[in-house]
Amino acid sequence: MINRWIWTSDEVKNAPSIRAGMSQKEETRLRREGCKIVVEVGSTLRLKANPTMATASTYFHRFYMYHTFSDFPRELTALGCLFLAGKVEETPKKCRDICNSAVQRFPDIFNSYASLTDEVMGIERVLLQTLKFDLQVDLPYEALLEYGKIFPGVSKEQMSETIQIAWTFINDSYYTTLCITVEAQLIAIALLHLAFTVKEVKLGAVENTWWEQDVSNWSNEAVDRTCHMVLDFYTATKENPIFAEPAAVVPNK
Amino acid sequence: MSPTFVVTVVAGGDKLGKSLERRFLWRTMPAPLQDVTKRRSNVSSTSHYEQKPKSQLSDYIISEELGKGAYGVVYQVKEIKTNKEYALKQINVSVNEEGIPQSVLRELSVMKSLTSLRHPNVLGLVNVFHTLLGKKEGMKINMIVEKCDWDLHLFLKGIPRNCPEKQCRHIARQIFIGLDFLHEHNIIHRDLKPQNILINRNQEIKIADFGLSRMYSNTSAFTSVAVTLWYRAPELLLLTEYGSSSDIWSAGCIISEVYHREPLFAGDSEAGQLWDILGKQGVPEESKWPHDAIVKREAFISERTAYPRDIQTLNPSLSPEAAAVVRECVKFSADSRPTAQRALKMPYFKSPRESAESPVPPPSNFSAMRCESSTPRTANVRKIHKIKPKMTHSNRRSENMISQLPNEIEQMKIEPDNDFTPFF
Repeated sequence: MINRWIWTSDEVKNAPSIRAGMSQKEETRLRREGCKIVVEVGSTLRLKANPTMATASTYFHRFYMYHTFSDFPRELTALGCLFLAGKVEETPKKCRDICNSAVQRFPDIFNSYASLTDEVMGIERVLLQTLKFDLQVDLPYEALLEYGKIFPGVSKEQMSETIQIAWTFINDSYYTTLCITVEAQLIAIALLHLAFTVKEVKLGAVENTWWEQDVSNWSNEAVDRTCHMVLDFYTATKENPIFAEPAAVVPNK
Repeated sequence: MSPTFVVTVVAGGDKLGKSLERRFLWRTMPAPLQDVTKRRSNVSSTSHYEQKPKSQLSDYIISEELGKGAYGVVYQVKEIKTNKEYALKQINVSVNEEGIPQSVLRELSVMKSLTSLRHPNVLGLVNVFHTLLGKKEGMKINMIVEKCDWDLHLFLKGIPRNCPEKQCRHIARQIFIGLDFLHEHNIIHRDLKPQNILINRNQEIKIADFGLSRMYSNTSAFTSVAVTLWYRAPELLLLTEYGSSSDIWSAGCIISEVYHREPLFAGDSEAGQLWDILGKQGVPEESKWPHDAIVKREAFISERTAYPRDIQTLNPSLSPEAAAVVRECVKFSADSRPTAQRALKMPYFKSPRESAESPVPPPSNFSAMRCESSTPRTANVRKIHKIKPKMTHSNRRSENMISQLPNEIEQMKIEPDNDFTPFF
């Protein structure tokens, strides 16, 4: 069955906001900011990076394949996704707590809302409609841990460091549209491959294209493209950190 | 007439199991990945955003009400675009300050993902969407499901004579295969009964309403939901821990009923049901009685429970092999019951007995799923107690269930029976 939640990169480049006239650059910025809100607010609520925040970010990216940023401001959608993902992933947070954290962390963005909780409740319904109650999201984390076991030639320490790096790559990949263009298992493969490359790990007897036993016709270029999406994100945000634009970020009190 | 359906779901802490296990199972289930490139091209050929993301009630024409059940009203609908017929289940959900209750969200999303795996013996959830009732009243959840010809209750009520062994076994096998699939994915049905086992003209069985019962497990005390107790395992009646083995109990009762069209145990209240079970099976020894049961074991020691009888005596229509399965399934102690997978390995399912008997034809000329609760099979339960889920049998790997599908499915073709007169 075709995964209805995976789009081609052309389709992503042609997302509703862009078709409505927004520049690609602006759309990418708003996606990153939305996910930043998910992660920041989620962290203050002591949600672990995964799976709730990854699930929330995935909802967020899917949502804007159906709606525009001008119809639904990124900050509301981000909170709605976090709220919904909390319930689905069994880490429920009170709507009021989410809103309070959001106001505290991003006062300039959220102070303008008179009744933020009502807005989040409203967006929850739009989200359900858009996501069609299909709320179980495949995440790459378990696959990553499974793949971590198939390299007998790599020392235990080196392997766990590599997994740690790949894990971070996965966390950060949610700022990009990777989760709506590549299946979770492939993300795990590509980012583990990236971690091996970064750490210059020798795989020993195992083939360099070790994933071929599972995914026979996934080309090296496709793996590279996946890795580059994450690397490009790091480059881009090094030059322009998310929320670097004036008036967006206010240091936490 | 059917009782009016009122269900209020009150959110609150989800007491229903931190089912990490379930999540893990979902996540590790490998998607078929061999053909990535091909799939990609497929995706690009049907542009995603051209399709309307909304799926509203207006896409369907509601033709008639099929029945009211404990979970909502069921309608027959036709999808305008495709002209296909489906059943629509509408459930009212009240919304509080935490939005849509967590239990409702979880169950719907699990059902949704289960459906994508498509099991022949599990009713497919084609679509789900909500409609708002008003500002504060909450919302309706609309579930579009496959339409089947009958439920098993109506089917058994409608057929003119008992089903022959082969047909019974065919039905029983599919129930267990479907249950095995649900349990494999950590879904406990909790309310398995003939009314929510659906059957088609071609003898195909589909288990419905799984997970729905859990959506109501934190139902408010004011709610009265009409429920059948006849298939309920003792541990549920005694309000102690339940697990997938509770579904096995229900399956055992149902299989017995398929044979002679009479319930195995039939009480009109929780206590009455327990008395009936213990009256027929005897009171188990002290060590098997749940320590946290709401009723003491001693309460049931009396003349009425002094003469236990064997399953075969209780239901003489059962073949010895079928009786063996039922006997195992309705063991008082939940741990002694087989898993669905183990039950499928019992001789009953292994030896397809050739016979000249022709299957009993399905009842003709009456609507599916009508009058689900118009029978006196219901008892009014005032209070739905919170029950701790227990995921037994959860970490087991199943074999390919599809491959276990019997040849009988091919062989079992219901011939139109000319002698058969419609009785409705």
